[in-house]
Amino acid sequence: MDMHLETRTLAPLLAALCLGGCYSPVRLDSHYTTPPPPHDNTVYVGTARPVRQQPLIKCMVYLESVQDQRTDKSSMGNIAGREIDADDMVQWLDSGLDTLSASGFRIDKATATDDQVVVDVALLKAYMISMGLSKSANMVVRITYKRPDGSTLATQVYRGVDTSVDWTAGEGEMNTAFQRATKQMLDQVDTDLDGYCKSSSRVTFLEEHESARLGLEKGARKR
Amino acid sequence: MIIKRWMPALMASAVLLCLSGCAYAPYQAMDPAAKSGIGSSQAVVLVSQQELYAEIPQSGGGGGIIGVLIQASMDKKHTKMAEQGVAPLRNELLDLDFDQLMLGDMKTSLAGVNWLHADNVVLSKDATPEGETKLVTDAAQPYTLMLYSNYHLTSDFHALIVRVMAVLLPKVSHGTSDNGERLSVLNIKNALVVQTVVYRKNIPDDTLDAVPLPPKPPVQKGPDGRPLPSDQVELDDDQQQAAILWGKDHGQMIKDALTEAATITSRLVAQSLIATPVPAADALAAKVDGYGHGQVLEQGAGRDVVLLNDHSLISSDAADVETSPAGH
Repeated sequence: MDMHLETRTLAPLLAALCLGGCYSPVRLDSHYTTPPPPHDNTVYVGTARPVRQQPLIKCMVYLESVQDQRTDKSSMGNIAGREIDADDMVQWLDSGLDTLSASGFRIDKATATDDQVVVDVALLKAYMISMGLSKSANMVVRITYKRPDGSTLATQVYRGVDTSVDWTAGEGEMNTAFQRATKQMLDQVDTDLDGYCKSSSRVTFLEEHESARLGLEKGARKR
Repeated sequence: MIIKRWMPALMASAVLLCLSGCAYAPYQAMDPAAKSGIGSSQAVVLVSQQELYAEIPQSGGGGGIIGVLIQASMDKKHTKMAEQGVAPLRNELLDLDFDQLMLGDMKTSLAGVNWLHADNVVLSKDATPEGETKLVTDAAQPYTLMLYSNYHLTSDFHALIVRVMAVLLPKVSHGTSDNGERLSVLNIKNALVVQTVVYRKNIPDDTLDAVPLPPKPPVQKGPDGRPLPSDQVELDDDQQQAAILWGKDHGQMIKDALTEAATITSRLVAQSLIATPVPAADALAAKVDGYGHGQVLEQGAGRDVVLLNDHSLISSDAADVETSPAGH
């Protein structure tokens, strides 16, 4: 299956290699976009495609800061002689963290209240490495979770890695690799954030409150 | 037809890329008379990688499109294994800045190379041909000593390799191709000196055997009891044990080795620039596991420095150097 898919991408590879333009830099998109699942072979018939449910609000999160703490911000590696760079990785990461709202976190960046888990994010690494005919994107962040009073709950390092065949060293291909690495990293954050929400009593209260409220609303609709 | 038209450009790019990253160029001695002409220079420590990595085994897929596809598929699997194994070590190394270590040690060591007059020692991460060319041509100094530095684990995770290739380049290319065209400043034919220095630290096999392996994760099975297809790869027991050992005590072993490597390689680069390394008349003959034959230059503290027959220098664990009296 993999092989079949990869055959289709061979033609662009050869074309790109022959037609030059190989050495202009690769620029990442300014915003993160959730990548499609790598192997979604599900066949949907008629209107059977699943409808996405609005998730229950798990807790409120105050995103206090997103900082780029990479020692070298100018280079994100190079593939086949093409340098990879991005205008603003903070924006990329910021938009990535926004997607956590899809799993029930209400992300607030403007104002802190006393019923939120406070989160500080530092980008430590964002790069691509080439090995043989493969490439590997790495995204590493350090996240400090704090209570609303500012005391630290925990500090964790998260790494997302995406390894794939390097076909054309093209912009789309590089973006997808970084999206997948970011997604892998965000999935780990999602799991931990859930735990830290539960360990903060004020936030747990909010969760219960929200759940109760939503339950009531459901009940009201039934009536 | 299109390939033919673009072939010269692709070939030129390939030549430029030869100097980048971990490529190897043959030794070239410095003409002692040319040393007096170096009024001032800059040294560039070029570390293109962002973090430690593990090599992947070379996979020959055979010829043609099918061969390329097979190789791509094998490379992907090997890369995935290497990346998975090295990730915990990378996390331990987040607080160790190898680039700065190497830069600091190079500054100290090169200060002792009087003829080089290295007024400026800087760090660069840009390993693109354009970036490297710019470093040389835009320099305030007429000469640039490029120090291509690389650190990685071998594919079996047993050894840490740190390699530095020192290449002294003039700002203006003096080299010409066979048909009389002026070569790029980065072309190896333009170099005044090329010297490679390698540091290797091995994990002894008997230490590895004592490392307990973590339990294997359960295989996910489908309703029919057969294992579900998975994108996950698994490291060999041997690789896992080596990775555990490097990462023990928050990566102390790999941190120590990288720190030592920066000091030793910087010292050997500087020494080889001060005077071409010449073994003593009664120097021991040496065979370095995986690197070939040479002569022992230094012995001590469990490490040997060997001048290999290709003139590169290697600092290796003494246990991996087989010595015999000169002439044997």
